[in-house]
Amino acid sequence: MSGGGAFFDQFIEDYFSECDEHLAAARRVLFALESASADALPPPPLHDLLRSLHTLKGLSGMVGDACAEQVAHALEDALRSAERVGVGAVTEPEFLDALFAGVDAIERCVAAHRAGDPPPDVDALVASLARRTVKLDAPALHSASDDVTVPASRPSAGIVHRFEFVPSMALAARGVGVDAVRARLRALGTLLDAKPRVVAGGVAFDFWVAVPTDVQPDASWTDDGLRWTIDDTIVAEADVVDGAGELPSPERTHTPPESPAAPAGVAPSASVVRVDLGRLDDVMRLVGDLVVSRARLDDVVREAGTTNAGKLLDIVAETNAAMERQLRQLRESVTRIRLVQVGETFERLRFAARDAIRESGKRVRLVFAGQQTEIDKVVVDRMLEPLLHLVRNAVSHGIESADERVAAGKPPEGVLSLRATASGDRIRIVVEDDGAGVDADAVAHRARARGLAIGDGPLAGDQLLDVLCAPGFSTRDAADRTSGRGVGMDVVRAAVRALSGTLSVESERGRGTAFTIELPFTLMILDALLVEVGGQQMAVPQPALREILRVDVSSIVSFEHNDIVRYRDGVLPIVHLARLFGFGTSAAAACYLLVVGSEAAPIGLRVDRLVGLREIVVQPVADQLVAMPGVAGATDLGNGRVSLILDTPALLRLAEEERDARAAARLTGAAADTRHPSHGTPR
Amino acid sequence: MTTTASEAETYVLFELAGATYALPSRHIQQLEMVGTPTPVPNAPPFVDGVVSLRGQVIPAVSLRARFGFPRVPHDIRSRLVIVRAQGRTVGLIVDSAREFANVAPEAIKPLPEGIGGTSGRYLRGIAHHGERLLLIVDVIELLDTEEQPKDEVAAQSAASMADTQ
Repeated sequence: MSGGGAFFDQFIEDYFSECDEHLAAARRVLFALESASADALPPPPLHDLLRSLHTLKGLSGMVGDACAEQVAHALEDALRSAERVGVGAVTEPEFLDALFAGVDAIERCVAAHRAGDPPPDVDALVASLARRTVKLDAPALHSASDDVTVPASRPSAGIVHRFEFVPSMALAARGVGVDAVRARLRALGTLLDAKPRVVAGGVAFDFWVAVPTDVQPDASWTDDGLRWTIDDTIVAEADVVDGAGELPSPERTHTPPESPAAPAGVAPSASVVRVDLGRLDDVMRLVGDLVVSRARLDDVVREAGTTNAGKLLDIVAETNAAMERQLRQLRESVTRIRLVQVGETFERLRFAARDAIRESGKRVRLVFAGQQTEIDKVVVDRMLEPLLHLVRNAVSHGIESADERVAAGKPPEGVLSLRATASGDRIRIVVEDDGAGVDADAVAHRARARGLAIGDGPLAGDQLLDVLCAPGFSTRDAADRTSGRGVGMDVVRAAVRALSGTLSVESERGRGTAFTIELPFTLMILDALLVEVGGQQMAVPQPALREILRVDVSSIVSFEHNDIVRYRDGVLPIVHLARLFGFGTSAAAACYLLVVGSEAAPIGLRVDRLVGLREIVVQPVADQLVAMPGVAGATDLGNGRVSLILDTPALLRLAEEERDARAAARLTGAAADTRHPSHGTPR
Repeated sequence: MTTTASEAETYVLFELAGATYALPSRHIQQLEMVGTPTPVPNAPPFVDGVVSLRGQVIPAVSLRARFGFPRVPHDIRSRLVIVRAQGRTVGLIVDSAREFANVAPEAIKPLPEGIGGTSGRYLRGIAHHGERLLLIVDVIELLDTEEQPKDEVAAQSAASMADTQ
């Protein structure tokens, strides 16, 4: 059976991002349904939800995510049967809960599939959905895949035929593949929609084509594996854009079938490019390399300036300046590609908040502001967990029950607001509730009981936050499930810090609590090896590393001003970083050599200890007091202490100068040690 | 804590080696606990290292070392005074910082002849505040790294000269 292999490989990554989109769309409709139900308004049309579910089912089947497929299928059936019963059946709270649970389950299935984890157990959920379905409309169970979302009546452009194509090796050998069929169908009429579908033993493709009334499909096509029927449930729209229903195919990126009935307010997909983040990261890395090359050119220019190179130098300097400008522009435009609106994340928080609200039995209204604020996708993705925690905390600990609120003279419904604003190169996200506020006295009491060092005054601001963020600190003895056992405020703060952000809190007893997260709107992230040099943790960018050797100190040979060690067929010169930096040197019997430099002239950077590989966020070290050669930047590892990121090419130059200086000093008889002062090390 | 109508400027007072210094509060962003700065190789000797402040990595300057006094271990009173000037943000480590004071411009007198040396360069004047003398710090000059003695020997001899004054 064909239809697998290369097709799958090309498809799998798109599958995940497309699932995200359809899940988000499904959630939007569910919330609209819920609020319509609450306010007794007419519910929004269901065809977008059905379409999303249908697509999720098809996509999941394609990649063999049986769990997600099963749930999507059950959901779709349940929704269709409920829809036939009437609008009231759909907005019934119990039914909505089942739908929410179903969408949540699909998300978990997809996440498990993506992570390669075993799929979650969805049997009970599917069974309960099936009960709702069977009760209403048994036949719908098995005919669901024959349905397609029914658009509202539109001007007719002919008769809609549904074509089914089952690819096979034999057909492929004759050159009849999905693309050939699509081209043929396009010639016949207007391609309305196309969907892959799993059938016994493989994949089938369904196409819906509006065929002009005076045209008939060619009967010989049956030989090419095509079957068709007239689908009178669909009335074709006259002005459907050709190509709207592209299939995923090996030679091009899959564009999701676009609903002609896309609701207003949804961003026009035509202006949206879906880009694999990995590719963008590659571009960012390339830009980083270019920056380094330019810096090297800068050095050359300066060096050339000391000789008499004249006019040539001017030209090189000019080129250098132009290159710097271009690089800056390139970096800016790449950064812009990575920006997404924070509203997408808010919607996911809404989903999580809903669960917490139901579980707590409280009445909470969510208010969003600033959804259009743009932020780097990398930043916002990493902020999701901490934000989830703040939202759950606000619901389970912050906002009081309706009774307590009324007793306190507040409206029974609590308000949880999520606001995003941009200021300069920072983004501020505020999670604010109008609940009881933090009981600073109780917190102080608990802190003292736990032996945390706090002053006598009332706890507020940063000090309050310090206590709340102390590892394992919780203001409730029994952390209930929604507050996220094990993920405390300490984890929230560590995550924020790791993104070069800050967390602050303001709380007023009886009035509520506001957590404010400030983040840079973009970040540069790289993989680095953390090492220890003279008691200091430092990070070495992983791409710079050729090899890591563990050597006995006794095997290092020192002669004149060089340390060397046997390496492969020759010797490896060593730069003793602790000595170069003027840090204390380790007395350990073994050390590690990070082999860097070129293939032809490798150099070993001697470090005391390896700590591990980490993904780190690069923060610039820009002030003239500390912007030293050899330091590429710094990173906060989440513990509040800064680790320096080493710039290996600059280090090698530095070591070379050092060696030369020492050799020169020895020749002139001066004390070589003048270059080894104590470097302002504190105390 | 901004400039009042009477043109008196607000200053943050801090202690260093037994003397009281004053920094214009418009240059002060905040006061922090000192924490542990990360040493930066080859940075000037008066720089203790870098610290992370609201996602920004800034230098932490030992004002004792900058003014030529011997370093002392940090204690609970030690503060990192975050100074903003000319687009730069720098932390200054001082022995303690707790007070504010309003000082009218005319109350600031030039330094008497004979006070010079390393710390004298960074002072804009001297003012009486009640019983005390306030040494008014010149932030711009303080953060300036130009015209610094480039090699360690000169810097250290300058520091020891200041000590003896």
